[in-house]
Amino acid sequence: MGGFLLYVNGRPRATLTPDELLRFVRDGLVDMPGITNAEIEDRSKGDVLSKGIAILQLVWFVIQLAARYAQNLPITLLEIDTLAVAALTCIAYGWWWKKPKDVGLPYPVRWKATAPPPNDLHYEYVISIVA
Amino acid sequence: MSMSSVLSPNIFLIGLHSSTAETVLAAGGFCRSSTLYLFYPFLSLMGLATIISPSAVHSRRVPSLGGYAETRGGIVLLVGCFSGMLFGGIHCLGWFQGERLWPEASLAILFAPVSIFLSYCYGALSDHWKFLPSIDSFFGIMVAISSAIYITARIGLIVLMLMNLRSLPAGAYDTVTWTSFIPHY
Repeated sequence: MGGFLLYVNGRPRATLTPDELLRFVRDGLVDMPGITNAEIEDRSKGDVLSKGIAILQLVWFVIQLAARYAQNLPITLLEIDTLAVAALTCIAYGWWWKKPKDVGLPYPVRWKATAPPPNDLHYEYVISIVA
Repeated sequence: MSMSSVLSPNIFLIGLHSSTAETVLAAGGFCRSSTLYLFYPFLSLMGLATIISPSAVHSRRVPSLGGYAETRGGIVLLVGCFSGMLFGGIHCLGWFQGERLWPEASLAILFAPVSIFLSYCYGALSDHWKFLPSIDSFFGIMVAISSAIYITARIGLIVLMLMNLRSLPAGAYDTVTWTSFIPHY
C-alpha cells in the first residue's frame, strides 16, 4: 500500500515503517493517523471480482489436472510447472488477501513543528550493492 | 555512508542515504545503478532486507514488499523458504517423466531454500548461545551460493520443460472425457 508518508514543515520526507510510526505516536511527535479500514480498502484497485476470476482459473486448472491423472492421461512437465506456480499463487493470495492493491498516494502524517525533525528514517536509505 | 541492512550486515549490502545516493549514483555512472536495479528485487523477494528501489525513494513510494515491522524479517524469510521448498517439491512430481536432469534440478530447488533458512537459524542461535562459534558473513555467503544454485536450476527446469514439448506421448493431446465421471451403466 501507499503507506504513511512523513511531512516535515509541509514538505514530504520519507515513508514511515510501522515501528517508526508507532514510536513517533507514542512520543507525541506526530498525531495518530485518523484513517479507517474502509478508507484504506477504498484505495485498493483489486476487488472480489478480479480475485475471484483468478481463483476460478486456478481451480479449473487443478481440477483438469486431477481429472487427467484419474483417467491415466499423460501429464506434461509444463503442467507440473504450472501446478507449482499455482501453489505459490495460493500462498501469496493467502498472505496478501487483505493487502490493498496498487495504492498510489500515501497518507500524510505531519511532524509537530515544536520538535526537531528526525534524521535517521529507514526508508531514506537506498541499498547499494558493492561487488 | 552507513550500514542499514536489517538482517545481514555483510559486505554485499551498504546503505546509502537518499540525499547522497543521488550524487553517488550519478557519479558512479550506469554500472552501479544498473546492478542495483538488477539485484534489489531478488533481495527484497527473498525477504533478506526491506529494500526500496531508488526510483521508489525518489518518488516516495513504499515497495510492494517490505513495510513490515523489523521483527517480522524472520517470518518473511520462513515464508519465502517454505514457498521455495513447495515449488521444488511439486516439480519432483515430474521425476519419472524420463527427462534427464529434471530430478536433479527439482532437488536443487527444494534444498536451496532449506540451506538459506538453516544458515539463518544458525546465525540466530550463535547470537543466542555463545558456545556456538559465529562465522563472519556466513549467512550472506550461503545466500549467495544458494541463490546461484536456485537460479541455475530454475532456468534449467524452464529449458527442460520446453524441450519436453518436442516429443510428447500421443495421449498428451487427448482431453478429459468429463462425461465418463457421471455414473452410468
